[in-house]
Amino acid sequence: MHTNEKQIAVRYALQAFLEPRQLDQAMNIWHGNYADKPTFALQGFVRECSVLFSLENSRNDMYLSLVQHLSTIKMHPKHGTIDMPSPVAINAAPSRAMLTDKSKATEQYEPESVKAFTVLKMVIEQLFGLSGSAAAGEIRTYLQNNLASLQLPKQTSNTLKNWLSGKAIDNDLLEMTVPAMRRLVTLAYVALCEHFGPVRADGILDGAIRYVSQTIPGRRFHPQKLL
Amino acid sequence: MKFIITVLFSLFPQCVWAGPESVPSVEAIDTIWVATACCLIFLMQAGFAFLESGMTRTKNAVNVIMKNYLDCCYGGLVFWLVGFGIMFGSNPTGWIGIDHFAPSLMSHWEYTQLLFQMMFAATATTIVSGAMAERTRYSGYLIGAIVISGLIYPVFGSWAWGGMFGSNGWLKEMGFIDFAGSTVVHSIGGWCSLAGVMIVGPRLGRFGSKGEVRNIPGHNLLLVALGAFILWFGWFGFNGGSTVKADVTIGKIILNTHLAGCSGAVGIATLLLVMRKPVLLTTVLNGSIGGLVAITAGCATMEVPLAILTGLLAGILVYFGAAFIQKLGLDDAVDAITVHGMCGIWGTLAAGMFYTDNMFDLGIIGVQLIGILAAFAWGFGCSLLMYTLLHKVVGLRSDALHEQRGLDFTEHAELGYPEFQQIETHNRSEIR
Repeated sequence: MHTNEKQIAVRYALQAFLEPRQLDQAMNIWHGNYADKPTFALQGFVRECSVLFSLENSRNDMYLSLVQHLSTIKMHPKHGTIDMPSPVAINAAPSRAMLTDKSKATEQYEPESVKAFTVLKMVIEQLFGLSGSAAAGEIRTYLQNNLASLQLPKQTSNTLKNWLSGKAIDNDLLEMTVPAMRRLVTLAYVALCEHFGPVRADGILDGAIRYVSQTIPGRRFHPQKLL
Repeated sequence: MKFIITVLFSLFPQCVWAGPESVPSVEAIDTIWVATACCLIFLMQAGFAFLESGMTRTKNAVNVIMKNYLDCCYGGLVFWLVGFGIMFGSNPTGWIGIDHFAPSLMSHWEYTQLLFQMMFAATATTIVSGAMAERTRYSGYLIGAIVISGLIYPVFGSWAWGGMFGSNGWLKEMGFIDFAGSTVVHSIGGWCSLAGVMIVGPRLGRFGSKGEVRNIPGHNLLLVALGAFILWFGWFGFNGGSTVKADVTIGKIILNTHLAGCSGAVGIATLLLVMRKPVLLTTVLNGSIGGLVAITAGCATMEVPLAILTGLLAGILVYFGAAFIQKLGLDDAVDAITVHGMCGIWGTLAAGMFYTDNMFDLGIIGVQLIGILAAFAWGFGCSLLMYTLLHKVVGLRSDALHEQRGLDFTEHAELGYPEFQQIETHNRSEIR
């Protein structure tokens, strides 16, 4: 792997943990001390970064993210951007939307609520994916018809309806608290129970959470917080 | 040889017969037996806990155990406080006891009676915990358990068994036969379960849109089997101890109990084989417990072959009863309504029909029917009102989020199997 490719992979892997100035600092450290060293030296790099930026709690996630990105990186010939690494799925087929999500190539620092909503969308989409197309349509309709029970602001409710209808939405404009997101996931769970029964519903929800957790390791917002 | 024996006896003076003053009194012997039976009946709480917990999902295992544990604790105290007085206090009207509340300064024998009846009350109360498992708020359940232990069970008990401190209950006066409580304990528990299940509703996704029943397998069938074994063992004290004295009839009572349990299992297993259906462990165990429930009323008053028949038919009834309950759209997680309610009915009728030396006496059967109907009217009616009030005032049904997370996590902040939890249903970081 060329140094350039490694540099891009490292930058990409750390984007979820560091702010832009911190990321630049980390990349300088990597260039200066670790760029020409083998992969096992990443431990030292991660230790240095976690101490420097007070991210000891995220150290394992950072290391996992680096390993994953470095091991599966490939340059996209057409756009010069990086494809998402193939996620490790457990009993789950990744949804098409997640695999072709190019937004991460130019990911900037996001507010916590936006990160949370991004994770929420991934979880819900994964629930649809694991349910199969026929059931997904019914669950989608159930969610749209029962959004009122979540007692959300009208604009938020309309935005969610648009998203569930497949229309593009602006994440930044959505004002949705984590408890409200949790209620949406619960509503989806209820729909899954009605459709499949509680045993399979638990399995689908578990599969979705695990998949999203492993697909985006290190994100500050863990999908389990939606449970 | 005789010389050697004489020498040996002289060396051990304590072997010499001491005289009548050291022989335990009849009351002491009776107390030993009844107290031992109490211990066996108490063990049935563990039996219920294991059986119910094993038949529910991992994420609710602790909640089920806790319901069984604390309903015994709260129930015991409430029964001492008010239940015993209602059930066995002076009963001039024949409908309710009016004294001996929070009893103390009683005779030793009366304390033994209190202990024995307290164990029965705990059994009646805990029957409900399994039926309403996996979606009932803990606080609502406990309040219900307190009312069952303190009011619903003792009032009916006063009708059927009251009279310890003067004046029999009206059912007892009519000659109602329920030796150890097929109706008094088990049917009352079953009807309270029916009311609770109706109010709390089914578990999420239990029934499909077309009414099809979706299976929710228990997480540990070994626990279920162990629970059934323990219940069976405890039943020897439940029925045998109801003589309330060390009596030569105990052997036959326990024999009838045991054989009814055997025939209950055999009945349902044979039925399943004949119908070419899988012989499921939970179904067979419920069959044997149904047999045990049924024989409870007549174990002292029927002959052995009829005890076997009673158990056999109870086992078969369990199969059809469970299917009927499901067809009504009622979600009973452990088939408590069928096993305790319906088999209690059958057992009470059988006690009247197969009464030794007076079989198929219509007068006796008529009284049994009156008792059965009175139990249903009182037990179901009161508990329906109680659970409706609880549902409206305190809240009986768990939130959908809590049901998804598991009641272990939401009600107790604990996990039953923290190292082996395979399904992520909650945010683990919230548990220390």
